[in-house]
Amino acid sequence: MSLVNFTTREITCKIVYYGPGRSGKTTNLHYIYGRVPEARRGRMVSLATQTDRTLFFDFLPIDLGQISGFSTRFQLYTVPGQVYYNATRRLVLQGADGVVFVGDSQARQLDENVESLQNLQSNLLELGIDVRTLPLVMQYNKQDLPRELILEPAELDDALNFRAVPSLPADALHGRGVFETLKAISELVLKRLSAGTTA
Amino acid sequence: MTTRAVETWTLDPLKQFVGEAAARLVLLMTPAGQVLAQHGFARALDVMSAAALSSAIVASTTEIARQLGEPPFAALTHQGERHGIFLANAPTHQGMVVVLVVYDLDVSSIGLVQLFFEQLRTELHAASPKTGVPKQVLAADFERQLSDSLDTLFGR
Amino acid sequence: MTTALNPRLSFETCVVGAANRLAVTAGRAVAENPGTVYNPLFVYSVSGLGKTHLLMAIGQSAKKLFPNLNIEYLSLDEYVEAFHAAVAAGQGDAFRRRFQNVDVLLIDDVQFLTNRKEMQAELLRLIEALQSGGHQIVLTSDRPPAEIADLDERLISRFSGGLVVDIGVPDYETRVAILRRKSEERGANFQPGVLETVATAEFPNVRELMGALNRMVAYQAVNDTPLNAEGAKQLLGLERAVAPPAAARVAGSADEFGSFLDDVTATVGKAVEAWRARVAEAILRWEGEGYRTHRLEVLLERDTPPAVDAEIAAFARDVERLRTLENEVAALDPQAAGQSLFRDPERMTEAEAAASQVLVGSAPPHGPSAAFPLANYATGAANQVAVTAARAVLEQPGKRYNPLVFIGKSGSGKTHLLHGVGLELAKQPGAVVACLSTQTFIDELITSINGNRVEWWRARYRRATALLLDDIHLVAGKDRTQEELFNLFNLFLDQERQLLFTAPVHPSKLTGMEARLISRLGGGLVAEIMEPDREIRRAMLERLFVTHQLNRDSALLEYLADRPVDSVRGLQGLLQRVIGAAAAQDQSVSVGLARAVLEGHEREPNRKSGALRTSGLVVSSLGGIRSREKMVWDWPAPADRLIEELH
Repeated sequence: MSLVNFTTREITCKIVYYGPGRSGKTTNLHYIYGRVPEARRGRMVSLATQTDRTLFFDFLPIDLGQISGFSTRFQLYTVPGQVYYNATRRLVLQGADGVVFVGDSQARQLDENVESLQNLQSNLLELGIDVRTLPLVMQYNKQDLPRELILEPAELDDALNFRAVPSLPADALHGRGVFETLKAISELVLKRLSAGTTA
Repeated sequence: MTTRAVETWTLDPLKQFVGEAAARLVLLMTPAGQVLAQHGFARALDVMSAAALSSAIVASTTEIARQLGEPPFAALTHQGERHGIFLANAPTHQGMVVVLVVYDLDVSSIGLVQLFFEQLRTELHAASPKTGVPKQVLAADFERQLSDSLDTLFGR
Repeated sequence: MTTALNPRLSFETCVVGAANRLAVTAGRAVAENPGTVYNPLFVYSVSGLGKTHLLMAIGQSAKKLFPNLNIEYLSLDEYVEAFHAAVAAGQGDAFRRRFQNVDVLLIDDVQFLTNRKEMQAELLRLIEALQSGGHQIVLTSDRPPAEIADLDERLISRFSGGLVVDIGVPDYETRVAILRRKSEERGANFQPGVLETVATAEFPNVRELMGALNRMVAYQAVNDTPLNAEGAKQLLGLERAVAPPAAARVAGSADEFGSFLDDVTATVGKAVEAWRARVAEAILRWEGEGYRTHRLEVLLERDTPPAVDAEIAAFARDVERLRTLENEVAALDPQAAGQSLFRDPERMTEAEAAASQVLVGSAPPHGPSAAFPLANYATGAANQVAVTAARAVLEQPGKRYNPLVFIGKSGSGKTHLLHGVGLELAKQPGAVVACLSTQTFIDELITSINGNRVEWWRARYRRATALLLDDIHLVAGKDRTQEELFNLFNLFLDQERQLLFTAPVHPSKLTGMEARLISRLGGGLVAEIMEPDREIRRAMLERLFVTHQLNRDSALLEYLADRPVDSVRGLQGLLQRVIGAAAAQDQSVSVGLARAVLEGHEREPNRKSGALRTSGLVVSSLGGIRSREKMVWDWPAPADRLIEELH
């Protein structure tokens, strides 16, 4: 996806929240939706099942207005987490400029996290996106749960963060770490602008 | 060509439809993409993809309609070069059933499929059990149930 | 004594970020071309941002590139101390001389010149001397020249006369990079996120950043559990500096989104305009190398970025092309290569035209004449020595007899042998053989002096792989030619390129020639070519018969060969007379005729004598013979003739 359009003076970034089922991807978006002034966001679209599981995607457009003379827009997506929905997940991943991996900090979900991460790699590979250079941020969500049930961010890093990308602890339900994560991924994505610009 | 069902009440209407409409592939699923019955698929993988994508299509079109204040799409058709695709809803006592039909253009036709789909719709509605609470799908079970359905469909 | 350059402070260990990019680029340019680009280079910044590192790096790099350069690094205070010590010891002048001979002088912390009038004067003198000698000066300070209190105006102007750059406080990314680099160097591993967290604190300079890192390394070494981000913050007392997310949220949603917006704004700004920094960098670099960067400068005036990479790459390519052209031209005509158009990519077409002009105009010098192939050279006892020497030279040009000088009387065959050798030498691949008469050599030189193209003339001969001059004695009295010849001589001898000369007599007997030339001429081998002996004469005659398409009359051959001649030329003349006589008398060439012609005998015995029956031959006093019959005494008027025929 062309990130910067110098002719029309637009910057558009597509950020996809990825992760195993029920890890909190949609929750992230809901929280952001609640905190962004109405003027700056579009309607949030959630294609979900009756049981509130993302069926296809959630979509939240954010308009940051004019920055350095460029109208800057972010498009946040989530994907369905269940293994079953891989085909649709791949569709949503197309054209992503950056990915937030929302991991479930619960100890018993570690395998799901790993599997989802592997699934991310293979989907990216199939889409022809360079896994090593795609901006990626890890969010270890549900850090608010009882200590006995969850793993520390450090342990999660050991298990999941082999690319040594920025990782943040979060409690999306109460909003902790949500904007920090968004900030982190935005910076990584926007930095790529300076790595070679074309007219 | 096997015809198999997870929900047994769908089996007979399905078989009949397949015979009369001369369909190549048929998939019956819930709006969440959970498979109820299938005909003609060789691999579980294909069923998964087809089910996930079909349910995504239905979700997308439903949302567009909703934003316009319209009722959901009744049916979607597509005519390719060699195949035709037909995607439609069939309400039953057990909830909405989404039906995906793929047919060879030199064997069947859209008219034929539409005609016998009406029949299928009626029969599914009639065959669906009125009693019994629709399965509550628990978070932990959802994934497993999806896989289980596939196992059933492919006799594993 | 000046401080030794610390090997750990080099360009490789320098972390480059937005804050110091210009300074580092300029430093690099200076190290690669000391004395030519920014001179002096003045770098200033608040303490602890890497000025000394940069200074040392420049010194290291320059030393590596140019090991023979005299490089001195010292702080101003050290300089002052050393100066005072020297003066006290009565070594003031030696001290001054020492520093004036430095090729690259690096002085740290010149702000301490404040209130030191005497040192300022001393330094001014030193800088003037260095600059006029084309030596490089690099200075650092904690403030720009104009802000150094009480500084002599002349010094201010000197300091500012080259390039003044500052080093800013490193931004977040650079801080992270520095921390990463340094912890790697120290072999310390920190948890992911720890360094980033530390870097978010606004350290006023790198030194304090390093201090923080040291504390962290020490802590981790002593404790069992590795440091995490929280722990690091606590250890370094950064709690207050980094606003925890929870606190912000309590304050309200607007803050959160607002701060997010601020961050994104900053990042976008940097990213979007990053191309400007790249162009500026490129300009700095090329300008430093002496090229006109106008084409790149206009890019900066644009609003939207052009295809920056493409533009910079195209510029670089053009510079390369110019460089190639410049080198090509320099090899042929050094003066032409100095033109400014070789430094301006916008004048590429002009440069190409100029280069091709020079290339075209630089024809190789005279080559050997094809009229004297070596194969046709008749060898015999008289010229054996010369021929053998010539062959030896051909086997190993430049290594056996160098120079090789043939001496002999006029017409003895020196020229033929010279050109013959020249032709053989020219057969070798890549050979450029200059073979010409000395007179032409002299004339060429005079013409080029008049046309102000002596360099070009010189370059022409310098390119030759062998130099053969006929009648070298003609340089007698021509001082300039001898001078040039002397230089060429040395060049050729040094590079083992062959030199061949001919002269009428041994070089030592030549007059009007500089002694150093004479000694060089005699420094190789002098081979004498004697008068052609019978053998040679015979061989020559055989050749000549063939050339003149005469039947091989052995009697005639022997007869002619017997005739005494002092030179090959004479032999040719002999034969020419006989042939001429035969033609005039309308007879074939034969021994009898030859004898008659050459010895002036009476006519051939088989010719009738006595009766004055004229055969119509009219003997002219000029020596030619005319036939009456063949001569028309009266020419009829054309008109008559015509009318005759028409009738």
